[in-house]
Amino acid sequence: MINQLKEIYGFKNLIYNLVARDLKVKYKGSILGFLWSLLNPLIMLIVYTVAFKYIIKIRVENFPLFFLCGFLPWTFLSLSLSMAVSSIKDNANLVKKVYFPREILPLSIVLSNLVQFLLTFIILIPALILFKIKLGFPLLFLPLIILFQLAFTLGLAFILSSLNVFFSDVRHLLEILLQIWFWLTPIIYPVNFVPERFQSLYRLNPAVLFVESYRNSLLYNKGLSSVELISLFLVGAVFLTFGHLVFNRYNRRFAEVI
Amino acid sequence: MTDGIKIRNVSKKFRIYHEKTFNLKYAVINFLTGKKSSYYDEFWALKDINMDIKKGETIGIIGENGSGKSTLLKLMARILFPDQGYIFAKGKIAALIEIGAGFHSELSGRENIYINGSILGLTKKEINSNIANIIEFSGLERFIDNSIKTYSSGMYVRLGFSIAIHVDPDILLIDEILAVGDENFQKKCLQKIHGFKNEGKTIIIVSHDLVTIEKICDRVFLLDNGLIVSAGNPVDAISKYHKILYKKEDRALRLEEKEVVQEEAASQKEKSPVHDTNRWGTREAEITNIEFYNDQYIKSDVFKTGDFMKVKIHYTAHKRIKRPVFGIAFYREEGIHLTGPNTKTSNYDIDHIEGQGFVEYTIRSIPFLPGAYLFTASIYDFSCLHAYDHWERCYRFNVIESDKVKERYGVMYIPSEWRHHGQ
Repeated sequence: MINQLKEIYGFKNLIYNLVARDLKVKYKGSILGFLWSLLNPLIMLIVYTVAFKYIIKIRVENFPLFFLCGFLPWTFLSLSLSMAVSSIKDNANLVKKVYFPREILPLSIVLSNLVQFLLTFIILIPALILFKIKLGFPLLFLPLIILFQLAFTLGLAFILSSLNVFFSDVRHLLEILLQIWFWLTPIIYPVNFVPERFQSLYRLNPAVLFVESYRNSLLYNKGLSSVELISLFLVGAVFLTFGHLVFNRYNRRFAEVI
Repeated sequence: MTDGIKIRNVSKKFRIYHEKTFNLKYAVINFLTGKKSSYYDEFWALKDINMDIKKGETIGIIGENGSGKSTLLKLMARILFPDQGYIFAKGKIAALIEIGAGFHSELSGRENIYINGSILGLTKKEINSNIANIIEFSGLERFIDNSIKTYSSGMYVRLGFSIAIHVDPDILLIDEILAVGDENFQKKCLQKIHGFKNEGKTIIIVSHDLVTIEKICDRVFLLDNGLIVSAGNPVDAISKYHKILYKKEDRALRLEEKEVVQEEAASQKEKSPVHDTNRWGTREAEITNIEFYNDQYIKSDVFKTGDFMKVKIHYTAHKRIKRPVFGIAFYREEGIHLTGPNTKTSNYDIDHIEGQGFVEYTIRSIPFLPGAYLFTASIYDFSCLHAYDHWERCYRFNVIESDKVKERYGVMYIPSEWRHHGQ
């Protein structure tokens, strides 16, 4: 395990390049370039502000911000997974012909999405200030939440990308599951909209925990309880460990199957 | 143990799937019915391989296609994993297996050096300190900042090779890529490999190019059907390889002779060209078959230097064609064009062809040294500008060592004599 981590670290230049390439390719040829990363949440903010002020009346305070605090982390999660799922297969050329730690392929995709996610804070934080949201020490929890979400996402990415090598169905299944998952996560509605008797079942979804934590620290100026912190840590650690275990098991046959 | 590679009881099995991809449905059905997967066959590509390669040795691995030599190299490179046994390798490994894997056609040559270098495990610092050498070695100074989609395939390969060879490895694995680029570049690569050798690095080469293998390897392993059948000095291993080739060819021939009466049509199919992507022409006349005969007038694909050889080019002309020109060419497998005679330059005028027939080309004494050769055959009009049918390097034959001719260097044997004049 330690050796593997060391080896992956030894390829840090490759990880850096893959992330940079990912971002470069994404914005290549567009005039605004990486500004699009910022423009997207900004425009969403404006659209939702207008829409929810004048068209749809939903009884949630500061709805556009409420929405963004859930939607941006969700975008990080769902984009990471839907891109990472085929990461091994898409790089068949490399996997079959060059040696490097295969973990790097899903890892670099998750990281490039992380970079984009972090960039959106450049819009989100000023917007929070603009809307006179009180920001305080709970912001300090943010790095931890992001770290645990990263671990969780990475774990899932490991599982999905390795299974996808053997079963092409996984990618299609994921698309559907992500849509269902979106609605099972409190992104455009608050948790208390869910009927009481489903609450405990509903909270089994790790994404609920993440979205709630983001909202608490960003929007409601509320710190994380120790129970929440431990749950976040456990979700991240368990998924990452299990995911890597699965990945390692299938890793040996990647080059033969794809 | 010191640097080098230790291979112990390594076996590798492959699955051949009947379906193109095995999907979730099958997996679930098999799981539910408890049936052991029946949708693939297994075969052992390597069986119980043992090798001890010491630091600083240069090792050659030879064998026919499908003998398992590339699989073995991929196992050493950790691209594949053994099903049994283990491989212990100490030191940084660089594998020149597929050069230019991971190139991005949108990016410039320079950007690709950085990306490809990082795939091979180089840090940015290492690439920075080497980039001038890499570019110089590739000879692409003028094009290095152009996007590589503008590169020719030769330039592409040169760039890939230059990057790969500048990884500073302890162990260098090379698969069949000495046959890339033009002759000058090949020479440069060989020099570089010699340089590695002199620096005391471990080198393992898989190749069909027996001449090079013999020249630079300290030891050679011969693989046949996934087993090591010979290990030792290059000359012995190579001559054993020739014997295996010859035996198989011989056996195939005898079988073929038996069946030839019953299944003439089938044997014709069997004798179809190696690949037909290199065929062009308008096909008013078609080359239907090529046969190589030895001095006993028996079909063969294996000849010895100095042997007699007759090539029969069978054709079908769908209409009457006046003054056709039949042309052939001989190539070494590595790409050297040896000769390209045709009936026009030989002043052999064929008045016309119509329907079926064949043309014979006879060599009294084959001047080629041992190696694999490719053969081109074509029919052109008298101007030699219009191709009716052209099969470019689509046929193959081997030349093996003869008892009479002992020469080994270069590709040609010229009957000649020496004389010494002392005082």
